[in-house]
Amino acid sequence: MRPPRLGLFAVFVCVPAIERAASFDDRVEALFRPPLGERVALSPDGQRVAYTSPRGSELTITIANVEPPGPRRIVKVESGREAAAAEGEPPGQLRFLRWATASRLVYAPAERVVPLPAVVDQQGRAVPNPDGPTIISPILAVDADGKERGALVDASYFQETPAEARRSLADLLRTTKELAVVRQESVRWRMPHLDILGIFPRDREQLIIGTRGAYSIPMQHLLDLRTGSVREFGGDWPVPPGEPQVFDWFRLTVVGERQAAAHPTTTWRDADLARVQQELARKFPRRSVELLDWSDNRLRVLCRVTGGSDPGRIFVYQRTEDLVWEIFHRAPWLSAAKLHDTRPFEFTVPDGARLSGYLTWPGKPRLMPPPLLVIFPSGFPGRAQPAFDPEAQVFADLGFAVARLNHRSVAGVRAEDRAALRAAVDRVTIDDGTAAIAWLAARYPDRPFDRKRVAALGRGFGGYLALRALQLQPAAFRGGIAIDAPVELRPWLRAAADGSGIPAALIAHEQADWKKLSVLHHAETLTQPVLLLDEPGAGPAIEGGAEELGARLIKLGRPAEQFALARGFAAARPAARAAAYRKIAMFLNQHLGDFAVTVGPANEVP
Amino acid sequence: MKRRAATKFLRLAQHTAWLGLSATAASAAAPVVELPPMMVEESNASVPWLYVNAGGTEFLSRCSSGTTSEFAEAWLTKLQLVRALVPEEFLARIDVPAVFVLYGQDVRQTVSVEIQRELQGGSAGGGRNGGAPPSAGVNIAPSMRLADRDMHASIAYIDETQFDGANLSVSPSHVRFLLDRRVPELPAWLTEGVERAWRRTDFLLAPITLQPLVWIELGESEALAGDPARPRALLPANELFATGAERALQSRHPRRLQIRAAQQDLFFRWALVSGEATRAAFWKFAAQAAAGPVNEERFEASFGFDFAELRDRLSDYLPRAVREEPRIQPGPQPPIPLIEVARATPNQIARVRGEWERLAIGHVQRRMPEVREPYIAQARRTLRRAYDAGDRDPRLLATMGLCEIDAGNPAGAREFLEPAVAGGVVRPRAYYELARLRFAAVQHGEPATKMFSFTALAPVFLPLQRALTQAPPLPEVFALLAEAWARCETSPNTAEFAELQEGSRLFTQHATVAYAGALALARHGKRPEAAAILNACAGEPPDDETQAGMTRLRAELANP
Repeated sequence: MRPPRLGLFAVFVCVPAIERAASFDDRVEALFRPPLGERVALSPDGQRVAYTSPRGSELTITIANVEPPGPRRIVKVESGREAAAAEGEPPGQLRFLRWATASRLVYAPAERVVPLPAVVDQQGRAVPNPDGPTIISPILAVDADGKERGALVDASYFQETPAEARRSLADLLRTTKELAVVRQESVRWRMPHLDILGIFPRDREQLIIGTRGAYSIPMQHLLDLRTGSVREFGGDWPVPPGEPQVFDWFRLTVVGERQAAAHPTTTWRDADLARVQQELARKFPRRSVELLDWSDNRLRVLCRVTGGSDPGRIFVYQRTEDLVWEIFHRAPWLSAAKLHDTRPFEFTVPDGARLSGYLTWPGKPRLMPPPLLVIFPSGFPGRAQPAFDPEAQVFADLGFAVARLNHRSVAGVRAEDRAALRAAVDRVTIDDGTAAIAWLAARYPDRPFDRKRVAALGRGFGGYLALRALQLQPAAFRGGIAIDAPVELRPWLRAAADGSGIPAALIAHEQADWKKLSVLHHAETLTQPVLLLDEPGAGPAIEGGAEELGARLIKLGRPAEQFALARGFAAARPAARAAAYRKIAMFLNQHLGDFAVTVGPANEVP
Repeated sequence: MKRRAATKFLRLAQHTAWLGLSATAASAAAPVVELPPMMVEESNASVPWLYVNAGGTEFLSRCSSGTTSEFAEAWLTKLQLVRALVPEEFLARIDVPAVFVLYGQDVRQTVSVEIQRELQGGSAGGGRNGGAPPSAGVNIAPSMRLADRDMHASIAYIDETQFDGANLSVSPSHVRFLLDRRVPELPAWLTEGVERAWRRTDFLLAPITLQPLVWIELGESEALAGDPARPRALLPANELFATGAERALQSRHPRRLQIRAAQQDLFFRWALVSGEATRAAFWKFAAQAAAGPVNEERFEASFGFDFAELRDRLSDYLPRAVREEPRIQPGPQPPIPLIEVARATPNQIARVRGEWERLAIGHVQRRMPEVREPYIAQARRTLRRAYDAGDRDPRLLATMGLCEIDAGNPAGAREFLEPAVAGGVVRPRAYYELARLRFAAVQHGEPATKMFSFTALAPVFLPLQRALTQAPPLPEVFALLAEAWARCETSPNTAEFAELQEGSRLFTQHATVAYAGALALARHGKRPEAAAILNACAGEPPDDETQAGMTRLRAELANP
């Protein structure tokens, strides 16, 4: 039968649209897929590398020979978490991954603390369980060939009872579980936290572990990696320093320190490693090279290289041959040729501050020059923007040039900035944003963007800044997207307590002029189009504020939209991300893409 | 598919025979010395010599007219395929016609009695072809290509019963010759990369098919093809594009050298298969690299991304390169010039054949000097036959002069080179050799520091300046010109200074040219220009003396 014409039309129009949507979703999924090698370790002889490799909601460890390369072995991380993991949830991570010997790998999944259900007291009220919580923090080992694998010990092994529960010599000799069996009344118990402190230098098959919490004082133990047996460790092994210090596990000394800066930087105390850093910097110009691990003789050095449009690669520098072996690509499913050019930038503004960030340029702009999306950092001073950002790639896919900014204080607050930041943290950052726009336009004439089509975007504190940018610099920013953004700083900071990461001394101080800092208070000055996106559960300070701001803007007749993000946006679930980016794209296309669009009046507010 | 047997010059299918006299006798351990064939004088007098001059090549053939015509056409057609992969401007421009000698005579007659006697060393016995047993480790190659500084010549044995011109393809060594002679000099990463890729390119199929890349060695390539995530080491781009001088400072670890060779090939292939824009960027960058050392900014200006990204892209392409067989459409080709086969004149026979035989002298001198005399005698006989008959063609005279140079008789060379140069021969090396002989005569008996008048040196300058007007420009011409100016009491004029600077611009990899040029400029007060030449030099000094001289000169120039 001949299909009706309208039906044919629908088929022709809808099929490509569906394909495009599917392809966009696939692209977002690929960009946000957790990368390989979040943790990576080099064996003491430099022959093998082990690295984490997420597979769906499962975490595995891949073991690979460096040179000569051989077959890789995949070891599933059994953390006891699988049953609880929801479908689509990203896998957990490891808290420890190191080679004890040339052929024995030790690893430990991130600790999970599972509270016991509440109990009912004698009055029938629900009260917290006096026992527990259950701490799941197994320490596991596996041989290089993937065999001899399993948990050596877990927190449950060290489960403790209060001292008074042991009333006799026999009780002292019983385990907590045995004690519970022989007692008529219930026996209280707790589990300690397990820390891996080091590998015993005289016998690298012995792991030094520490217990803390529960009922006892912190203790140290030796864990035999061959047998799993535990015995008390007589010494007082120092706890290895964590980030930002870099620890040499062979020489048992701090050899360097990671610096908070616009790009990953390490200050080395060790001259040999400093030399290696220089050599690798020459081999990877314009990239960040982080030394991650090394063989005991340091002839092989493991490093991570990031920068450009690449999500990062892991290399082993073979110093005798002066060759750098690429061990794996952190996102091999992403082709370098299909990623958009990303360049770091850094410059000095007239007051002497260094501004930095990344500019991502669309490979195929839809408009020439393309519109620019300025992304403000989420925290304050916040962490430096990563060299590779999936979100920037998505926006570049959509035809936008993307400038991701760091705060001027990303490497530490300068004394001379303190007063200005205390008075108006928003204005300082937004002025820096406009300075960055001007500088980028001047610095990259071969990468022009449309100065009349600049939009601001941010999440959390960055979202707040995006809204304030529309209020303070309406001539520079012609639209804004705020994700989970507070519109009033005071209640948000109060609700977030220390979780905001915003230093109270700079913002939430006694002299703070909260009205001046408020988005809501100056709602009428928001004349440019605004898109407010909130994830359910973002908290009343955000959800309520966005609701109120949206209502006021609509009442004022301003172009404002609200959109409820799907759950999982913050956790970077691809489906939630794709829906949000689609919405943002529609918003930007509607308000920035059309040359005939009328842009609202541009009055700067005090 | 028909497989091709490798020869020195052309890959010829079944119709080529391996004429090794000692293919079975040669020791497996000892390297085999290949000697050029030598056609016995008029051994087959009933077969006439035919001559074709087309597409910048002179063919002298003892094959049939049909085979000669087919061969010439096939050769010119295949040369066009070279240009399909390497643009014309990156190949050598050579004004001196190439020489091709084709023969199909009885292979036993390709070695003169004298040479056979030398090879046998008096021993008795029967050889594979019915002749005497050869000395161990010696082959007479049926087909061979030999190159001089300003031209190249080839000889090819053709079995006419099986010959099919379609099965010819241009050998990688010839492509390398064309790249090596190009000026300004191409960087090593390009010439080596193209040559290696060429070895794995099939020109018999249409379109041109690149066979899978061999990464380091076959086993490693297969492993990579089966496992794209297999660890691999690539050189960073700044090491890949290192100049000769920089390379000399890099690690010489064998693995590194293997990777370099494979990666140069990979880079060329990647550029070929990554689309027209990337191909254009590749050649733009190659042209810049030929003009002087390149940096990341220049690379980025051509390709649009930086050095580190190039490494990443090559690394990502590698698993495909070892697996895939990309095809390149050569595009429309210009028509082949008209090929007219005619009976060769005595001049053509003597000149073309003599040219080949002259070139054989140098080859034999390098490989097996004990048998060079018969080759010298043969070349002289061939050339003399025309000369004695009254032929004074400058081309013949130039060949005769060069023959005497190659035979180690410089005193006898001038008698031929002087009239050849006076006759305006197109032969850059002839001008150079004459200038060299004249300069030696001027200096004879004089102290090494003596300066000469312009008048005394004019006979040296003139042929060198004439040589500069012909292609290919020779580095030794610029070096000798600079050397002469350094001994001249008179300063060069503006144009002459420019000639000295031109030498270092064209031959950035030749430290001898840079050193001689800088020395001459410095002697005549052009210190900044001299320093600039030394700084631009990308080549490694060939010997300690040049190295020491350059260091000394740099120090002198640094002190005002």
